[in-house]
Amino acid sequence: MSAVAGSRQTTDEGSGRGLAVRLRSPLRDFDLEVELSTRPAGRLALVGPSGAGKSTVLRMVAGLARPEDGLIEVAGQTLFDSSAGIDLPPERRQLGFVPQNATLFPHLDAAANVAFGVRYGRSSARRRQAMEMLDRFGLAGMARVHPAQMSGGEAKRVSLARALAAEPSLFLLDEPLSGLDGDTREQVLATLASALDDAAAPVLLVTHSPDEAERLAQRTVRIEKGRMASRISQPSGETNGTAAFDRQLRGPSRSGSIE
Amino acid sequence: MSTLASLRPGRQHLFGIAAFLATLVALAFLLLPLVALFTNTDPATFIDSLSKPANQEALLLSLKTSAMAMAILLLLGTPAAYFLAMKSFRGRSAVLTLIELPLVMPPTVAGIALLAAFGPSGLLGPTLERFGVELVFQTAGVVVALVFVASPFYLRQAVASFAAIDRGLLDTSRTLGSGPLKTFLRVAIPVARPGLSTGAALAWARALGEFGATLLFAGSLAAVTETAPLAIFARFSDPDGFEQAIALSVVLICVSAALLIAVKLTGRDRAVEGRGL
Repeated sequence: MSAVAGSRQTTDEGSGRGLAVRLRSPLRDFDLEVELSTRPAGRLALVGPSGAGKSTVLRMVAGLARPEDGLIEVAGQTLFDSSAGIDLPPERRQLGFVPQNATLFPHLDAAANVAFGVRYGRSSARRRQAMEMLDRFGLAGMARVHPAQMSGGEAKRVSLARALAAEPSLFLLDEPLSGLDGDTREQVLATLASALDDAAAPVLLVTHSPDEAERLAQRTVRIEKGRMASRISQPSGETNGTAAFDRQLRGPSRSGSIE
Repeated sequence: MSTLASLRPGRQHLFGIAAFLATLVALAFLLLPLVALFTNTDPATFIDSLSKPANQEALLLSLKTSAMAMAILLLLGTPAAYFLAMKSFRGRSAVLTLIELPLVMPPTVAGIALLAAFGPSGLLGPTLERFGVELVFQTAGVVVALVFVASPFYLRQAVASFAAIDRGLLDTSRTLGSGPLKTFLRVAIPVARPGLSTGAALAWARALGEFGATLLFAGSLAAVTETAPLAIFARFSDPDGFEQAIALSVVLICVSAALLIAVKLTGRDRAVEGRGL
């Protein structure tokens, strides 16, 4: 079973004090049961069909949904532990959460949206930090623009800048590049990758795009009906399409050199 | 479609004219009394009426009591509306219906009900008395009556506005480090603001015009409980007071119109700003 292989890997890497997640919870149509881990500042992509429970995993790690049973640790700090009765509220988990739709605050301009999550400093310092992050995403000219006047792609970039400016200890990115295409997507992908390098915090990423998974994450886990279908391609237990997908995800040299 | 249009061009035309005329009649009917108020007074008598201390007191009392009622309503009503909009619990729809009750209650009935609750021989009357709280024939009683009668106008609108907020915004605020209170203050209230100010303006206008509940519960004592609407009735009952009643009415109309215009303006400004996402 691939899940067994996954859990063994988990224990190895859990000692590295990156992200360690074990969740068990009944969902509407099936049970969610996953075990994920990264090394410190490691990046893990969750792929799989829509409705498989990927976004639910992110919401549970964010503290926006409550698993029935499980454990969530980031860099040695426990965010959730059902057996010990620990359940930190979202605001105390130090997250950089980018939900699937941009969810910018409509009453704030781009700079204020980004500054919203900056935790320390006076308001002028927070705004300066926000401006730097906007600049990094090529949005320096948009600082005073309100979300209603932004295109979908601009809004998405602002929400990425907002998550990064918060300097979180964990990034949760749900389809971070959805709604972007062409050159913009390429630029944002490069900016995001380098910003995540600098941030040096673990990343949990949900994506449909193999390219995105390969370039933003070091490892990919496939989730189907709430369970980890595979971390390594297993042709026997899977359809050809899935195996090909996984091979494409891992890439020949990349997974070997980083892991 | 085409046959209908070709068969009855005349009728459609007639209907257009009829609808236009109906609009004119409705407008005239609504506007004429307002215009009459202004044509029935001349600047000299208007100023003379308003310079009478009793009338000034009535207007000031109206402003004071309605402002206090609004302060109480906003402070208690806003968190209550947020709670009702966000939580689902058994009996929630019953509670929502209950808070609308004063809306359909005749104001005189509201006055009697308040007496039965807070009057000297009412349910809570003796308890309040022990704590030195007197409401009947007191300005505080006017405020209580105004809060009771005006609250549904604010609460209804506030619950609807909070319920319409994209939950994703509130979730995002939490993940960005703002706890429930900060999220309420920094996100929920600003995002719901257009609805909240509409509700507040309607409630304020209702409070300014309150007559029945105030009269029955707090009475009509000059400078203590005699608000502008009560003063209008008092002057009207006086053979020589009609001009004064008109002057007070003109002021009340202007204040209410100003509130309505303010609401429309904030609503328009937000329509551009708050769209999408």
